Amino acid sequence: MEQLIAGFGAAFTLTNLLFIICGVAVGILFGVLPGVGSITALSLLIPITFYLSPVTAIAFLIGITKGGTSGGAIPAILLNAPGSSENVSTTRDGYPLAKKGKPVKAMRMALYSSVFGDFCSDIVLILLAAPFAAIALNFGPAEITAVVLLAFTLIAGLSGQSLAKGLAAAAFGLFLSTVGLDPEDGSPRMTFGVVDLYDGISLNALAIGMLALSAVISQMFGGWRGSQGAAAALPPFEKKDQAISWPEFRACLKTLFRSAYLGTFVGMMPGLGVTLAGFLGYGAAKRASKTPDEFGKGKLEGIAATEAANSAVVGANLIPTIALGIPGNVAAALLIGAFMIHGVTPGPFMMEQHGSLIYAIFASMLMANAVHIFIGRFGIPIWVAVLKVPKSIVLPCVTVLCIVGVYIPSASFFEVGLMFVFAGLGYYMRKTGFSIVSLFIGFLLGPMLEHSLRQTMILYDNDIFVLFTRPIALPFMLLTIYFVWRFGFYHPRKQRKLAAEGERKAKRRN
Amino acid sequence: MAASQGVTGSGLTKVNLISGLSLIAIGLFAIFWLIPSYVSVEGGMSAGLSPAFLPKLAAAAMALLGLSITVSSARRLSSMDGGPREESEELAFGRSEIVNLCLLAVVSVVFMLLFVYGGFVASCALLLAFAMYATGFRKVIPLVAIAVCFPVLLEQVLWHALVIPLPSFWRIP
Repeated sequence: MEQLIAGFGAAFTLTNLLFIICGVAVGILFGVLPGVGSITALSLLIPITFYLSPVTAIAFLIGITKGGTSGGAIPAILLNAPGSSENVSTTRDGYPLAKKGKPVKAMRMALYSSVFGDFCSDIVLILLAAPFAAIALNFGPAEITAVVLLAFTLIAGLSGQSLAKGLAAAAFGLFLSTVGLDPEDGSPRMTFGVVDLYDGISLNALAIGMLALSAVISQMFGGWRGSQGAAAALPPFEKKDQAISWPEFRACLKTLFRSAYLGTFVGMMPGLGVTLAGFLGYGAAKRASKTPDEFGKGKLEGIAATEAANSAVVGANLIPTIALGIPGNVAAALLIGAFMIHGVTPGPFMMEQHGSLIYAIFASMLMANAVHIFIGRFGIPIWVAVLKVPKSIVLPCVTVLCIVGVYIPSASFFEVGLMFVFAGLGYYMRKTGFSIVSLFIGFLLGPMLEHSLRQTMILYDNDIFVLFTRPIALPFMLLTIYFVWRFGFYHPRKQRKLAAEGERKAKRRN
Repeated sequence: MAASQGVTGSGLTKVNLISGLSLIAIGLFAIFWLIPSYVSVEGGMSAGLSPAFLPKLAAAAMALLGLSITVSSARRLSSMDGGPREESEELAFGRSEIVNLCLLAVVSVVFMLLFVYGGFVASCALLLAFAMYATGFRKVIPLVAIAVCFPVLLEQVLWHALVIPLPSFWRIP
């Protein structure tokens, strides 16, 4: 508690507060634009944080992730077109409620639930990060290697269409991470004499190219699909119907807690993702409800369930990030990149070496929740106006921001070119079901895997089987094998059986 | 430029087959030529792993996983009667996507040349105008205004607020 109070002391500065406000506002803005999303904002704005102190930089980026999740709910409610996949379930009750003439009420409920989920998840993070990191301090190189292998398998299995494709993407990311000077002896690896590659492939070029620019060009090529921007407008409504009364909010409290709990659990597991949390929260609320038939017809509880669950992922995602240096999803992976830029290596030693920074970040997260309520609540007319800007203006402007984002930290034309290459690769992967997240996390965790594997080999006389004999590494390796079996063999076989049964039934009916 | 319509599960299985074969090719190319030629092992450590170990491991994993994708796609293609569609409708890679990638390559090369020799404002103004027009924005005056003002504004903000110079025509020798 003392450390948290000290953290508040460090975080409660005008600069920090201003950047948190900016972060939340930018996050909501990008979240509001369907298909752009907070990941684009995060990857675009990481380079800007080079010029900020670590606390301000991370607080700004966390503000973006927090704002992005709730921002995505606005188009889901007004247009029936979620800002990103994590808000898909919000459309089920948000849009019908807007059609009933209560769009502002729906947006307010989404905002309050989002902040509630965020807050609960942050509390869990603050309570669990230090004990988890203390446990992780017992991990040696063999254990870290086993954990990274498990993270690869989980993320590859859960984020892609198939385990093989996910692992192939992760392997490619790992391969790309080896470009540059060898970290141990400084010998060049696949640098082709290009000075820009001596430090390895730029994280910025890869992140912005694959995550942001590929999403933008994918949408540009896909067309505007009926110019949603022009159609966006608040449906006619009575002002007096828009407030959320205390009894209405209290009726959703149980759902909010349940969803926050589910979202936090999902956030703690690498690879499960925000979208799943939203669906789980909605499903659980519907199952627990006494009036499940009302779900899908504009029920406040439906909005609360989804938004609390998907927002609760944000804070919890940082538990494996801080304790082990393993990102829970792509937003956490980008945050790891930002930590590294500021000289902080996420992992078990992070709490020990940068404890005051971590608690200042925790304090900033709580401050961001308070800011989120105000910005989100009073900015509703602005977010609605932003929705009206045509995508044919937004997407080209975001492309220019991508170029600037890559050029700023390095002043390198080579990296801008590299970004276009990665954008093309990202576009291909998006269209063929290869997981971009797996590639990115493979790239990010590659150096960590190499380092721990090297240490393991040196410590245990090149005996790789030590991964199966060390008591802490063994469960992680067994889990890895289990997930390979589950995602690689059991799950596809089950799907095939179900499809065959479905076909048989359809034939019988015909 | 619209996404390819009607790309079926079999179309994507063929794409998976090609992707699998490409992965095998990339993996083998890396193991047998790229890594031996461009990873120096002379200065490698006497203990532990050589600098070529992880790149080779990753390349071998790519080749093996590529083989797995190829085999499963080939089996699926040979028994097209059954099997679930693993991909959603949104996943589609056909002729129009190849055209899109080629277009991206051409635009990227042209933009990079302009960026290097013409500076930030000129290249980005042209890119913006082209992208806005290509995505269906047809109002000429706003198009020109946005295409010119946005890069100029960005350049000025970055220079005056953060003292970050972007490449300019008059600054490039």
